Amino acid sequence: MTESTDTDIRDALLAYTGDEPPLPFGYEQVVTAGRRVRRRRRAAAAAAGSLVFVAVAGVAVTGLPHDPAPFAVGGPSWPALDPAPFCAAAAAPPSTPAIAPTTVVRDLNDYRVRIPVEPADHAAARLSCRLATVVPPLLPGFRFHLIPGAPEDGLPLRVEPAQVFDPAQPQTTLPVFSAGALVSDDEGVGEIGFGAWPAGETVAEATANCAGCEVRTGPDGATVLIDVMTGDAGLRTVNVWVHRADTVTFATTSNAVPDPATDADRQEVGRPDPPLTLDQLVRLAAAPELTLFP
Amino acid sequence: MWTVADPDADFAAYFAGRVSAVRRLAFALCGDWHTADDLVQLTFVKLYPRWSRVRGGQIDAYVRRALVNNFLSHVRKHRRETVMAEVPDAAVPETERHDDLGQALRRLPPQQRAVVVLRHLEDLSVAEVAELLQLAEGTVKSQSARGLAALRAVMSHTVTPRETRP
Repeated sequence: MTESTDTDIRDALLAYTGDEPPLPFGYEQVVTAGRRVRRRRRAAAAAAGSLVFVAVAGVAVTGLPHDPAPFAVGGPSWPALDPAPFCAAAAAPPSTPAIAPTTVVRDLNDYRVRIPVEPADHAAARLSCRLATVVPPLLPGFRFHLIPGAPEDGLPLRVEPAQVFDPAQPQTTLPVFSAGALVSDDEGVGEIGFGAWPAGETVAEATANCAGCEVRTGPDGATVLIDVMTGDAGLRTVNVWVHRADTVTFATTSNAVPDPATDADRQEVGRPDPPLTLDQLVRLAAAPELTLFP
Repeated sequence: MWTVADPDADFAAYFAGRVSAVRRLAFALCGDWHTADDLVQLTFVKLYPRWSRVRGGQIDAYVRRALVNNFLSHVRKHRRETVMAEVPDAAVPETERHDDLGQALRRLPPQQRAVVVLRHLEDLSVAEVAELLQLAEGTVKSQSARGLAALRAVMSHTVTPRETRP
């Protein structure tokens, strides 16, 4: 028997792996899927009680305070949003079967999470209908843009099922819905975002986990957690979580915009003030129409 | 000034420059191109949202680790790997030599296979493989030796067929 050398082994491995067939996917597919992963991560971070769509501690912020407009936002923009297609879909019976009534006991805290029975696509249409109806009147004169990284066929503020419940993997697929948009006017560009997910912790736990948050009692006894963040460079972000029954809704507004050159981990101040006020955010997030258990 | 420029130029360059090598590594690990391409695509998709953090460091090391982890996860999900036939003891045509090497590779336990491929295809040091797989260096050495012995046995059949044929 002939003893093969390490060089022979390497040469053999190179030859074995050298007959490559054509690559069945391309760079564009990778980037499209990668952006989808990034959006889901951000939504999942929100569901975990983190701050989504916003700068977090340690995130670098560039730009000067009150750095004047104009800001250039590439890609398509919309002067208004059309809720009609979403409302029509929401008014129609779901085209997919309802989810069997389920509760999931979280490994993390033993909390019994109630899973919505409404099909995810139907819930997304219903939530999109609500946002596209009520948000534009709050932002007169603004144009709406896609969040960087959104699919080219996306729409601003269209709610997406960022995570769809899978009974086979209940711990890691608790449903999350999210929507976002950049909005611009003469003063510059800001970001708005919304989310909804089934409660995964008690209100007491959520309050304890929201260090420094203001706690208010909202309509119908809902608990409203408010976190206002001000950065050194003039960054201002307001986050609102509303805990009502088994649904948590989230709304955020920021005068920061993601810096696409750094994969949205850095943010720049896009306008002097966030596009929405705190009171507007609270009213939006506290609307009973955003429940996941209609 | 915030503008939507092309934020992905360096990611695109890395993808173009490295995807072929990453495919070969994936194929050596799993043994079929279809699965290899799934693993490679998953690896780059996961890399994309982390690019800004990874690109300042050891990108190749990150990609190798992600790929191997994806491979080991794949194996755990598909525990029934193909049962391979015995290695023929007769000489085989040169065109089938690669198949024999592939069969020998696939017979190795997945982690041992990863050790052999990382050491001898990727040319990583024992220390680098140990760090990547979170193994003791001694474990890497022993698994590499066992894996190589299996591959050498196959190569002895195929490299010198006359010696093994009556």
